[in-house]
Amino acid sequence: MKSKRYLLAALVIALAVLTLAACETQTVEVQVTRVIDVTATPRAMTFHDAAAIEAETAPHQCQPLASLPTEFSQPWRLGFINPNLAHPFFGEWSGAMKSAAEFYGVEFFESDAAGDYATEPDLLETLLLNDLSIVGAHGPNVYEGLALRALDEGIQFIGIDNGPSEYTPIVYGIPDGIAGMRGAELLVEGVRKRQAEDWAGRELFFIELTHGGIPACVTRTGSAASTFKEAFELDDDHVLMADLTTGRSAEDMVNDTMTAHPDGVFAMIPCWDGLGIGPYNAVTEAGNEADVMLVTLGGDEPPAKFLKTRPMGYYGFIEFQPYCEGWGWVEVALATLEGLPFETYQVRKAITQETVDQRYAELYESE
Amino acid sequence: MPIQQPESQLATSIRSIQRKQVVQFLLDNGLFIAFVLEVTLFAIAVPEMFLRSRTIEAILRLSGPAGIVLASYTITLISGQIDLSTAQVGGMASLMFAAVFQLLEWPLGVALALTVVLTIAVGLLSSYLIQQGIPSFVSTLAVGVVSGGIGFLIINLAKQPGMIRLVRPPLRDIANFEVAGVPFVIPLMFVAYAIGWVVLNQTKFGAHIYALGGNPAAAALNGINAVRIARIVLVTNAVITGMAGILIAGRQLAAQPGVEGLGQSLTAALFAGVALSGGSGKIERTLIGLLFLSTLTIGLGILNVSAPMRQLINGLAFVFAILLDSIRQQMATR
Amino acid sequence: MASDEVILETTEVDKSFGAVHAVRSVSWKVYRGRVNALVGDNGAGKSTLIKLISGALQPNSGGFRVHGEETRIGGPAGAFNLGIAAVYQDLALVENRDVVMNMFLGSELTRGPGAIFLDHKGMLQQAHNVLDDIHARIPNVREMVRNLSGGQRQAVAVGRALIRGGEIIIMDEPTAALGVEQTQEVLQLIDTLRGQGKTIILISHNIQQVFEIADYISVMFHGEMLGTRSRDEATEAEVVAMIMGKRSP
Ligand SMILES: Nc1ncnc2c1ncn2[C@@H]1O[C@H](COP(=O)(O)OP(=O)(O)OP(=O)(O)O)[C@@H](O)[C@H]1O
Ligand SMILES: [Mg+2]
Repeated sequence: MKSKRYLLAALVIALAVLTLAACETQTVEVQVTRVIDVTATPRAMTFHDAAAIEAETAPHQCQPLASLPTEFSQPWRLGFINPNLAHPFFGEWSGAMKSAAEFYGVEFFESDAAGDYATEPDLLETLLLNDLSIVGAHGPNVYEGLALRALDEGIQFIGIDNGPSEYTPIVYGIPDGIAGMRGAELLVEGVRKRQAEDWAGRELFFIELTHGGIPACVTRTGSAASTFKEAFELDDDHVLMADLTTGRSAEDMVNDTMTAHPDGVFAMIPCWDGLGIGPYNAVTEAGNEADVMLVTLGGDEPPAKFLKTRPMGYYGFIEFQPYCEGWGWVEVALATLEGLPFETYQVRKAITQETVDQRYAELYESE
Repeated sequence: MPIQQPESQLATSIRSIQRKQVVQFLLDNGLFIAFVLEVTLFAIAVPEMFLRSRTIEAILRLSGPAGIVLASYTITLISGQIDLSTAQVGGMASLMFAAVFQLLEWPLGVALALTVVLTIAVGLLSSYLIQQGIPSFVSTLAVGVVSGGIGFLIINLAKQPGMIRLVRPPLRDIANFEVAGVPFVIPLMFVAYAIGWVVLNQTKFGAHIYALGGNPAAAALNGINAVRIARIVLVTNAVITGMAGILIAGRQLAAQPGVEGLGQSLTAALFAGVALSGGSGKIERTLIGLLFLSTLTIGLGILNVSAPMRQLINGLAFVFAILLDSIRQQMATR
Repeated sequence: MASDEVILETTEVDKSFGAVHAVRSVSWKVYRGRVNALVGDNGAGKSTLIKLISGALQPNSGGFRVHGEETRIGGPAGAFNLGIAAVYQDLALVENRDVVMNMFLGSELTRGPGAIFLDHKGMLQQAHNVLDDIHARIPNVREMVRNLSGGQRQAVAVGRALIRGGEIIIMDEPTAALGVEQTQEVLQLIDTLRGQGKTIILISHNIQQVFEIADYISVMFHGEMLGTRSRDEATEAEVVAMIMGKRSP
């Protein structure tokens, strides 16, 4: 009876997988007894202090975005759909959120879209079963739907790097205008240095590498372009744009631009690291490395690693400090739940070839 | 003494028949057993979270639009066609709809009509390729790639960031409309199944679908127009998939190139005993197949199983479904 | 038997598949109410000829007379209308469907407006009647065809031909895959049909069987029709010689 053997084998496989899945299971605290203390008299509130949080978040040394009480009015339950835990930047978010939740003594539930934003609505359905007090996600494509669904369940949605919309009044994440400006300032510094050397007297162009359909990108690189343009008093013909919505690759667009201006030198800022490093590598391959200078925005491990190799024209990056961004989301969520004020997240760190080794060691080589 | 010999032979043959019956019973009812087992396992593992009406509602929510598609997908499979283009056709339709309705701000009816026309065209293209003698799974794979391309083209022409927002009323209210606290797609799904059941079991067209899927040569010799049936079935499937894509987009307030969940139709149908080669299967069972998969998604989510592991389990479920199909085939030809 | 009436006649029917000239200018008479056997070696063109008659194939040239009238057979449906129904070599059954649905395959009974909905009751009743008429032994007409014996399958296929109103029933090697007992069952069935006035075209490789049941024996060789003998005048030796290609005087 061959088919029976097949069936048995299949059953065994299925059982093995289920067992594996069960072992894989991270211990989920099923704490449905939500105690609301109705008889509580107004307590004297004590607050966490900033220094303690800076120490707690070393080596990132995050600044708290809200002053939160040591005891909350309710045992809050936070939920977040991480876009991709396997991605280093988003992985940092996850670690930070878990640590922050533990630090503040609240429950945190997470699910992983594994790079596929389209799965987020389904993941939200499951996540909501945890009786959340508030939920968040990084879902540029679907966040409004997620927010609407959360409102349906009577809870707030706080996305990272998306919004605002009528369903999510709270905007949290990278302040795009400031990030672009900081990037341009760093690039101006680098270009000035080169102009004192091999770029002296060369025709300077700025290339804005962006995605015209993503509002955050338009703001980010747009602010970088105007800052840069002003610093060098460039005219419009020297401020160029490579926009992904044209359907062409950034690599092709940059190479074509350089071919069109064979005597020019080019300063570039992309909306995110990869969007700059890709074209940079293509330019290097074409043998024109000496004619470009790049500053990127984001600065997680891969660009840091690349910068450590001292590429000639990669001046540095603005570090978005994903760990602090993730930590801050927990603070903003808790502040919202408690009805307390909170600050906007700031990007402060500019890393260059001089500082990258030390920074890399701090973040990725400790322990 | 001499009488014992034949008796023991009889006993072995009875045992072998019984064994075959056991396997057949498992094949026929395995899905129900597996479903009950699955629910029991999750209920034991996470009783407080799993055994709640909320969880059941979440499972149904996941199943709604996919279930509407699965009803027509099952009919397609039974007719002997494997449609691999659903996820892309759903996405393309939602983008087309969103571009016309949201960006151009044309009336709802016009946007729907244009989308229906586009999905009909896609279904006709698939059936044209099949008519040229290309197997359906190749034809629809190609058409899926084309549909995905059309979707991206729409996004690019509209200069949108990988999706088109879809928030213009009244669609938002229609897609999120609830009947007695239940999203209306859930009752709609049951209606789709009822219609599918009637078509397959109570109409001449349904009888021809079974015949065509079961033995195309015999169907042709008996005057059944295979080309016509394949065309109707594929076009219907494309249109229904497109409408489900719009429903999903309406709930997400965004239209995207690929529609999650619609791709699971094949696994669900095979689980339910619809033959990959066509010609057999009961539509009402595929609903259980879908609920099985939705329950798996929700259950694994509650257990907080990691994303790679979830993907692996979904993949293995598909492998298991194909394996079941092949065992069923072997049993049938014995 | 000279008084026998010709019910169907082919006139110089010709069919090629590319380079293969499968049927060469065949003029052939089929007699009403008789068992007309068609014999010939493998590849002689027997199946092709009956597919032309049943409308499954279209001839390159030549014509047909049915009931003495010049006619075109426009396809399987056209053949049904002329009372021609074929039971193909592979029986054209759908394994996963039950006996009733197979018997009504392509000609399902409907009720209600628009001929959309199936008349399950009517089909069940009629299937029982037809199967009883031909003394078929099928205990459960809701059984899947895949679970039937070879003889039972033949009965289902013949039943379908009768339901179609078949006057001329074509059977292509009905006993080829059957054991002794089931072969007898099928021969019985053929006899029953003849008794009911049906015309039968029977293709067979079994000469003894042909002599046992047929009234007329026609021989094909390399696509040509060599001739037709009444069973009573022919000898087995003569027919075998014709099958080998020997033209009779
Ligand atoms: N559809 C087709 N395409 C090409 N050639 C064909 C086709 N059908 C039949 N033939 C060829 O035509 C010739 C006659 O075939 P046919 O099936 O009519 O023979 P037959 O007398 O029925 O043989 P058998 O006794 O083996 O069934 C053969 O050479 C066969 O290969
Ligand atoms: Mg033959």
